[in-house]
Amino acid sequence: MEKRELQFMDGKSSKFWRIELDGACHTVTYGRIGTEGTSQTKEFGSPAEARKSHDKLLSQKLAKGYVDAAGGGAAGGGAAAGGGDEVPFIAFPCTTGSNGTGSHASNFMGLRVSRFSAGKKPGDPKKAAYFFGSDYENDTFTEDLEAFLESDVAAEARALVLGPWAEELYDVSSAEAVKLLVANAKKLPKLAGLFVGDIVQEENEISWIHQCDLSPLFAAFPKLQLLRARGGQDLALSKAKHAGLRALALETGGMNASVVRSILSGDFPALEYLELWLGTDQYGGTCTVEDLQPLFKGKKFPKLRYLGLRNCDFVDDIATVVVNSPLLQRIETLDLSLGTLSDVGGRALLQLPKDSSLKKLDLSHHFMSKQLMKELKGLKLAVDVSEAESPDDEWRFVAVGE
Amino acid sequence: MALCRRRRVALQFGLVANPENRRAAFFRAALERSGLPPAVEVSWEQVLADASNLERLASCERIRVDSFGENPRVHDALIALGGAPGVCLEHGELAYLEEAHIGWLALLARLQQLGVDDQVWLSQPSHVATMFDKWQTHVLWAAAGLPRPACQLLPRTFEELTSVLPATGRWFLKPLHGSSASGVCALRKANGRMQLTAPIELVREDGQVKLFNSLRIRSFGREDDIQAILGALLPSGMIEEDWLPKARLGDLELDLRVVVVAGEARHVVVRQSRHPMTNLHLGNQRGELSDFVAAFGEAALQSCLDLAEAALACFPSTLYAGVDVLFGRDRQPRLLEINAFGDLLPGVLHRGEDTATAIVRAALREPS
Repeated sequence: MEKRELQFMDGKSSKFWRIELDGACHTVTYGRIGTEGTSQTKEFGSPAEARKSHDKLLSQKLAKGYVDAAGGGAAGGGAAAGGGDEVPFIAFPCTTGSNGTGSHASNFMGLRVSRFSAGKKPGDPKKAAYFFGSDYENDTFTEDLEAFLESDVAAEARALVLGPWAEELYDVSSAEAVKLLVANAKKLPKLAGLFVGDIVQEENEISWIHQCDLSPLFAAFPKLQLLRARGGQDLALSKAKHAGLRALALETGGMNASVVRSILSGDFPALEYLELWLGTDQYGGTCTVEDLQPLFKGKKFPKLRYLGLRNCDFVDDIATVVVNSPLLQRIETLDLSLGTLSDVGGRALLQLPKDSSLKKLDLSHHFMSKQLMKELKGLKLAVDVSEAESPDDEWRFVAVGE
Repeated sequence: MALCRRRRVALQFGLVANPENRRAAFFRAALERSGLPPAVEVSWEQVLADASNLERLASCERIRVDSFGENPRVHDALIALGGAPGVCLEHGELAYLEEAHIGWLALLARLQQLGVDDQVWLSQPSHVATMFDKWQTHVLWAAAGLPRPACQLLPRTFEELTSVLPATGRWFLKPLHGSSASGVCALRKANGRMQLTAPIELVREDGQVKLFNSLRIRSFGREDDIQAILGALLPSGMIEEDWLPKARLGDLELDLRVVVVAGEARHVVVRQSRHPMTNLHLGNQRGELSDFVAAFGEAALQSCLDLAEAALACFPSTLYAGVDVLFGRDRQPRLLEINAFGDLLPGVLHRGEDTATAIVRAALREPS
């Protein structure tokens, strides 16, 4: 009997998919990681037909981004759901769909996001990432966070998601929220993951979110493994060092070069996952490809497996330079999605060295031609060229006169 | 099943429309389905060329007025009639809104000069004129005490606009005479910064600025871009409407398009979007009415339908319209706008009838 166990995680889901091939039939079991899931067994006329179907289903799932479960059997609750300290690598990304920052994460670090409200029974800390957020009806962010810190579940909490920290976010930064967490760090001994700024488009545009210097979080939480933050205004990492941080993700509409420089001259020896949304100068971005050169030299972050330089309007320049970087001899995934990648950058990527260690190249949401997309799909690695943008004038409409 | 009462079987309808448009096709199909003779048709091009073409409608017992849209020659001719002859708009170009409206009012005036009884028009030309003016409609509804987002008429220059709006806030700025989300801008201001989000493409060519309606909604953060867009749209007249949070189904905001026929709310479509603009053809989705009811209850739906009926009731003896209702996060319905030609909802049935058939049947039941 052959068994293959796959997992998929992002900001919306945390799912497993298992297929067992036994002679002329196969059984597919799927569901949320940590649950028994649903099983379906299908019989075929012959073992050969069963294998054909098995292979087809497997490749469909792999193409969708599913990966083999670590250790081949971690689906039954090991993935971040309290079964061991180490956060699974696949739990680091937090995409919530192709609408960018349009939706709140319902899944963070492999845990189901669950709103914490003062006075209401909280979710199970082994399964929940707690969400705090003010909105139009309830400006209770601080009250909820304070109540949480005094509650029983704080000591067991593995992950927190800070949503809108005020009802109107125009001129309120994350500083008070960060200070509150830092001052109460001893109440959060198991905190492994933190998302500062799960704020959606409608609540506040990404380039309007006020951040602050997040580095006190590094000093206060030595066990932190994953930090994600959204919003580039006033974002800083003045003391960029953490011995155990494995994933750092900063989403902005325009990243200040000083933040990039801090990271690249900083000290993150355990970093496996680095995701930076560099943005555009229209939204305060001052970063250029030169600022990334220390990274492309290849010596930083010896454990790096994923590099994302996303939402970037100079991604063509990045593509041209990164193909020559020694980084490509050791990382598994290069993510240049959500940017303005054109045929210029795409053609540069065709020059990927044949001995590169890359397994996946994510170029989704791009401006490349069909021809180039086809050539890139011919490369010997998984290439995502979905969400091709068509030229602007194809989008024009005539008012219908209603 | 009898399609219509025998004693009315020969009711003669008239139609003023762009004949190539699918709206005309739907209406023709509805007449046929109801066992009625084909309408006497006059095209908008004919009306523009010579108003006496309308006299062919003199013998009609019911006349449907339909949209002038989606026909570049007609659109350019309206602009010419409105005072800017020789303009030839590019596909999707957003310009000359006021001239097009003035031309449209002139056309509607030609319809009225036909001198037929009010009951003959399914939509009264004077009412259509009002429905195409967001401020006039707002005033009418405010006088009737119908709930609406707060609204003001804006000045006609960008400089005056910045002094009229407070330093912080969010609003919708809508052209007085636009439709289908054309030119609708969501504006945000805070700390001296501004951001405009709109289904608009801004093109700069040879020092000139051109705007296009775009299915791709964009955010503009630079003051010169915002000034270019609003500077082009404000002179044609705009209103500012308060931004009220819309209720959500799942992650998507929603509002309702309700087709009211003969005083009764009939066909309803839930329009969903992750953008502030929920207009259907901007690539947004139709939601399920059953999901709406499951989430908010029958009473909530009924409150929206009642409000839509009240909205059309302000236009007595106009048989139908498409009313947009905002269902707020506070669970209260408010009127957004009324569309004289907002009855095009392909594939939506109510009591087994599509909108065109419902309108034809309702027209047959009216006293002559």
